[in-house]
Amino acid sequence: MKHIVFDEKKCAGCNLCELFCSSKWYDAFNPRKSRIRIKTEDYVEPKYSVCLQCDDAPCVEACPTDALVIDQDLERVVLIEDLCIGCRLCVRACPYDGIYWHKDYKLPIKCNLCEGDPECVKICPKKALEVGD
Amino acid sequence: MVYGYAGKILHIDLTTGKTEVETPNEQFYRKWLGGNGFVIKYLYDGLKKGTNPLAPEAVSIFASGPLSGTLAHGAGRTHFGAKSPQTGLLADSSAGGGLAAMLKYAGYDAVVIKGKAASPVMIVINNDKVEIREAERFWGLKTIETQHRLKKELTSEYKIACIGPAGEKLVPMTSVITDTRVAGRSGNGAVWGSKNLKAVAIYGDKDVKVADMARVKALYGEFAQKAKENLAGLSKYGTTALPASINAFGGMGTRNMQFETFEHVDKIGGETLNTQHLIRHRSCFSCCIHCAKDFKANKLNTVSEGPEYETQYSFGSMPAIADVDYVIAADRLSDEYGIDTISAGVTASMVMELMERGLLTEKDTDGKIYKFENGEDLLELVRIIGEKRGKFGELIGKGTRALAEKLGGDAYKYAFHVKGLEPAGHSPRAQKTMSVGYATSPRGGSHHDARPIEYGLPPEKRNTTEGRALNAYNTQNWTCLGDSLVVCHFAEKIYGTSVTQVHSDWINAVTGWDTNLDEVKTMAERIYTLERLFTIRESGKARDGDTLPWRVMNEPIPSGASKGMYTPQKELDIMLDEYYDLRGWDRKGVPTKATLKRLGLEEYS
Repeated sequence: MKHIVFDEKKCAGCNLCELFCSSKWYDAFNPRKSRIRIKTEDYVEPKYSVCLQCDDAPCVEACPTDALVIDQDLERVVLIEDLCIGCRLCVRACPYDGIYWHKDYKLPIKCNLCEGDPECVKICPKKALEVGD
Repeated sequence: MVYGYAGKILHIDLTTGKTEVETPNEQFYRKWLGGNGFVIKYLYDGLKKGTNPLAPEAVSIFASGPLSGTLAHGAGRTHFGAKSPQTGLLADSSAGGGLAAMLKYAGYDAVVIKGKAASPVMIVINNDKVEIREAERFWGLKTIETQHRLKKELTSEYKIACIGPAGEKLVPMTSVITDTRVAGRSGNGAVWGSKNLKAVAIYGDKDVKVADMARVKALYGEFAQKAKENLAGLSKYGTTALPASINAFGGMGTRNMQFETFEHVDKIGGETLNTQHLIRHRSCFSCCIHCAKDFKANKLNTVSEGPEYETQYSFGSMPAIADVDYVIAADRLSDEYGIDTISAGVTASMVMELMERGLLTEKDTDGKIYKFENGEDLLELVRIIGEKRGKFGELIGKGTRALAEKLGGDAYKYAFHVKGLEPAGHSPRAQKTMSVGYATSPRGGSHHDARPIEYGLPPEKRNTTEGRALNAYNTQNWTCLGDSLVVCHFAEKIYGTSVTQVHSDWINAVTGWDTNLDEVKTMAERIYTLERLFTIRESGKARDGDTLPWRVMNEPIPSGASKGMYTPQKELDIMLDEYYDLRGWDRKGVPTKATLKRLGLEEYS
């Protein structure tokens, strides 16, 4: 399915994607509330993690309340917030470290591709992020 | 709570191991703003006159500002400060990276450290939990390995600042390193070393809230758009393209300022670096420009984040090194030891000139000859400074002033320093804004007080004192404000080099205050004037301390586009008079009572 893809050769590690993501969805600047994470280290290429919107998604399997479902239209895994009980099984199930938890919320922090028009892709100054398959 | 701020200042006493949290009121924040403002406020108030910079009771500060952690340009930058063991004056120095943003996310605006731990320690901050932990196992390690090992222990989510072996050994020209970014100038590293403080590690997951999110995003959007249109060169080359233009301008310090053009400038320039040495572009936290670069020294098998322009000058043209591999290697080595590349390179160049002139011999240098153009000699000088090796290594780690004082005779003529700090690569002979700017900088030879804004002007327009005091005054106010917000000075390429309405706009959008241009300018003047009072208190000098290196005042530039230019005492005096008038300081260079009152500094009169 569609997901955010990352070019580590282009990324310079500014973390602006995290600031735009957290401010869009949680009205605050807080990289720990971003749905995408860029890890920068000295002298090595940056790494990213984000929900990869898996076709065969372990988080969907793990969710006991069917709050995570495949959205065929937008080709993504979507969280139905009303059904979520905040058990965090999805966070543990994700093999890519693509779903996060923050103590301020009772819901997992997970990329939903900004309803098809991802903020991080729009603002990345290095064009290191895009929507791909 | 004031928007933009964490609302807490953390005080740590390493002697007792106690920590305290101060919660300043809104008036405090609006008066001192952040970064630079916090540094001088806590330093002036917290340090008794004449305190030895390396004594336990000395104070060491690092601070964020209201814009730290937001989308503002380079809003991860951290402002460090102490009394300098190199100059005896203010040592404030700003580092890129992301430490201050993380400090804010952890819930603090600044950290004020005093005391001395009984053995090596590190401060570990995880949100509200602050611990002083034993750090014996890191003592002696260079800076990159220290950070790697610490991240392994603590998780890689932490942001770290640390000192290297030079700071541990109390070498005066030492820096604090965070990631590969450096608070380079005036010796903050030795102050940490004197406290047995090896490192600070910070993790935070709290919000930074702003008053008007839409306005903050709009301001960022305008900035990013202009950066894209106008700063492509900075993104591509960083500052490494500057040697070509500054050399053509006739202001590239060469062979310890004997010349201001370097015949091999292309070999250490941006094109060479970008085509033959570039590994990747790097960015500070929250910056769309990404001016930093990782470069590889191909023959010497090492990489460095940098050099940037100042290091191309200090390790390139000043010691006349035409092989950029050595500039890259010396840059990395300096970061690893934790020493300032500008002071180290300028001091190394002075050693080379003194040896050439016979004013310094093998008897003084523990048996070694150091020559211009020799990259291995440069690396060796960096090593003996970084390791404080031998009597000579110990001496030159104090900088050019100490070397001249030790040798006596004519050596002072070749010591390129202002107030004990070696100037950066922006010639005070070729642009008189930098003459009066360096002379009145509380730090001495810092290019981050007054800014070099005469590039592009032909010599006939530069060879005048007219307007130079005003240039220095305006640019110092801007840098003082920028260091308090805390943002990157490269924003000046978009917003200009003086305090403008847009700075007030940023402050208001983040904090919700209703500041105007006048108030923001007053903030900058207040902070700068308290720095002046600190300079006067600690040195006992005012106008009599506002002077320039001998060469700048007595020896015209011998060749190149700025041939014939220099700044004799007579010209400096004209500019100083104008400058003091602009600042509301008397002609002796002391702030008047009326000025202190106007700036809300009555308590300091």
